[in-house]
Amino acid sequence: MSATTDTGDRVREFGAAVADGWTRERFGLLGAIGLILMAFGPSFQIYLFTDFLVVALFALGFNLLYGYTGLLSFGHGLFYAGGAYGIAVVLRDLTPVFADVVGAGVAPLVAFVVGGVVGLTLVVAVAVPVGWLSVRLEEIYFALITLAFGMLGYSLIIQDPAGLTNGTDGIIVLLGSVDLGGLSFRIGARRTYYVLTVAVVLAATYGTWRVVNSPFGTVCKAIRESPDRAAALGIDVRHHRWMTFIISAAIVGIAGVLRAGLASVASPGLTHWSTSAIAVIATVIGGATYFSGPIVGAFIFLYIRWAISRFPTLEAYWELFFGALLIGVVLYFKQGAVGGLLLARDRLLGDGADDAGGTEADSTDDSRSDDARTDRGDDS
Amino acid sequence: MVTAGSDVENKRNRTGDVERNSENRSSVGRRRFLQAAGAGATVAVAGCMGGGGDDVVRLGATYILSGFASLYGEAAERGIEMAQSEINDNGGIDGQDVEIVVRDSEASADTAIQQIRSLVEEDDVDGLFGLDSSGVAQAVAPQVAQLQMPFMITHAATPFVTSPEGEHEDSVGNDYVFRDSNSLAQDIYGAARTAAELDATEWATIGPDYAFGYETWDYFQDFCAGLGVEAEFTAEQFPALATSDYTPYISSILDAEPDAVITPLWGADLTTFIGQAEEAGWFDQIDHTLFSVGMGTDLASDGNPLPEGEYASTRYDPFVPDTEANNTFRDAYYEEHDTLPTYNAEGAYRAVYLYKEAIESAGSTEADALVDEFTGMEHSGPVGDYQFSETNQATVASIWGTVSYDDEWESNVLDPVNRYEAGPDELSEALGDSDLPTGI
Repeated sequence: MSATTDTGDRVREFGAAVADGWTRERFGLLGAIGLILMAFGPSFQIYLFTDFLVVALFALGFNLLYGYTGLLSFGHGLFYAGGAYGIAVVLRDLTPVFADVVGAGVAPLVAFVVGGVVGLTLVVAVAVPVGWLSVRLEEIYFALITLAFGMLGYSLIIQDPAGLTNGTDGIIVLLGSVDLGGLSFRIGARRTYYVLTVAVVLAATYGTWRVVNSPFGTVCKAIRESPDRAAALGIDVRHHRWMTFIISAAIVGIAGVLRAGLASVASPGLTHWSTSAIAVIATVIGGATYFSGPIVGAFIFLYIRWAISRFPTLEAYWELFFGALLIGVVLYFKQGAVGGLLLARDRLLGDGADDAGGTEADSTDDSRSDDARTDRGDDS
Repeated sequence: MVTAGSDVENKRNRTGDVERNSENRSSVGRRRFLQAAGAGATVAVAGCMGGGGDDVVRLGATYILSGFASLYGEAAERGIEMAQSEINDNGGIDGQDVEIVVRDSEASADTAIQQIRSLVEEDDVDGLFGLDSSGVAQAVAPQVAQLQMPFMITHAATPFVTSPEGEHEDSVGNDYVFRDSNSLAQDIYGAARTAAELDATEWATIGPDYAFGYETWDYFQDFCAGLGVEAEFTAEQFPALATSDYTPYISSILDAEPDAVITPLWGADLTTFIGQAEEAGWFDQIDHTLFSVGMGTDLASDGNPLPEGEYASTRYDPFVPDTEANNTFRDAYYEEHDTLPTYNAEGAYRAVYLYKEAIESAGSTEADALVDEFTGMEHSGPVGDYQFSETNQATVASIWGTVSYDDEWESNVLDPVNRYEAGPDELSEALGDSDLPTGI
């Protein structure tokens, strides 16, 4: 009974928070409504948005290492491909086996879930030694060794070891139809896959957010600010970086699993440096210092690219436009798009502090700003 | 999902110079900001929508327009433009103009699938055609069936896209996928027929390191066995696509001292290979080199033409058959581009006409009606007369000939040239006991 009251209280509390100005709760509610409405959009828009969610998760995983721990990896495509190939091989080779064991009706679903787990396990298994070796280096050397590992993966996949990866052609990923009693659906159907992606990406994003805001995440930031000082505080810097590397790779691996189903093919291009660069570019555009930076950056990256593709004359030179955009961001928006947007809001609409209707959150923010000043004092 | 609090905290720690303003939640500020952003987004989306439903027949095509094989896409675009302007100058398709959207597949399955989805769902095309790479075609075929849109393949040659699903473990053929040009099986059948005439027993191959390279070699061996060609297969090399240094592969083949070599290298790879092979003395040491698909690269590329006296295949010959359709097409193309048409230009050109005929005959642009029309359709174009087989493969001839330079056209041509009929009966008989599908 008390549980019911608790739930009721929470719902009321949430309702009050939604009604009370532009709070976190109202944004959450609007975001959820937006995600649901998206499912009823035009088919190609659903596809594009699903693509955005997957790339956002890819960049988010990358940024755990870059924005939060200060290590720039140029080889995260390796884990993106790892996830994709893990599920692709399972779907190709084991679906008939599952059909024998659990019946043809649910076999595609079982194969998908097992494939996802295998993809993720594969990524972690690769990330453990790769990370262990990579975190011995810092800065440009770290970027280079991860780049080397990424391209090593690329060469390996192209060699088609033991007939597993199908060389440059890649592996076709067919998700199949599930038949559960009266219920029948195709996992790869646009809307079904969108719902699936939203669920997985939201869960993974929440997980990342918890990591970032945990003591573990605080240690990451401490290392980013000053590895020496962190070490002086008793932190095993190398070990901590290694662990962050593995978590970051695992998140990218989840994105890779989703990518394979979306693209319907696991291709070696996923571990090419040019794919790793997408995470870097999305993060730089969005702002590496914000949790939401990679997400906003991925959104801008994909939707600008899509807009360009609507004009055939521009399409031929889309990389040129991106180059120009990137130069602009790097030169004038060091905080990325998220920083730029916040700044623009303040410049255009005046100082928010003058407005009435401050919420509870405001006061906590204010107290945090005091900390910020202290931080600045320490740094100077 | 995202909170401003954690963002700001992180930003502050990172830079230490965060503006205090951004941390305050101003109800008015954020609302106005959102309104502005929302309005902007609406305008942007509205501006990008549209297309479809207007009075044109719209077709979508994907070819390789960038990278090492872009010469294929460029040739295809020429054929498309010719067909488009001819059709539109002569009353269009059922009175409607034809409009063709060409997209870059980047020789990647991932990109090609995305482009095809975009063509069907955004540009609202009535039919699809194109594709240069076999690997891409194999990944695209199942997607086409899901989109339920006819796809006329004009170049990619893998027999598995016209071999019904289930016939072989790699088969991906289905009702929606057709091919108007000849398949690898048809092409290599001609190679084996050519080999039967040559004084060579030891054979080797150097081919690209993907399905196309391996399938060429597999089919060649099985056709030779089926046709009773006395041949031993002694060496094989499969360099990766877009390799810049072929010398180790060339040396390895030369060391094996075969009498003849069959090579399915193509695009810029073939041009690079020929240059390096010539320097290594390849054409002095090896009696016969068979360039499958060689003419598609030769006519379109600037450097390193195929050496005279070697053998090459094409999927379309500008001089044979000596029909009005072929002569008109060749002369118009030559006048416009100062070069003989490649088979890729002809395949794309013909695909547009195939759609014209199917749409006019069906009286509709409904996908299923077009599929019905294409199934078993008899058609005639520059390449000659042909019909679509039960597996949606055009019964075009296999064309092999001797490379020789023609002063009149200032270009390599095939002379003498042989056309081997390559229908379902010929191929299944020639494959004998092989478990490879005929793809027709």
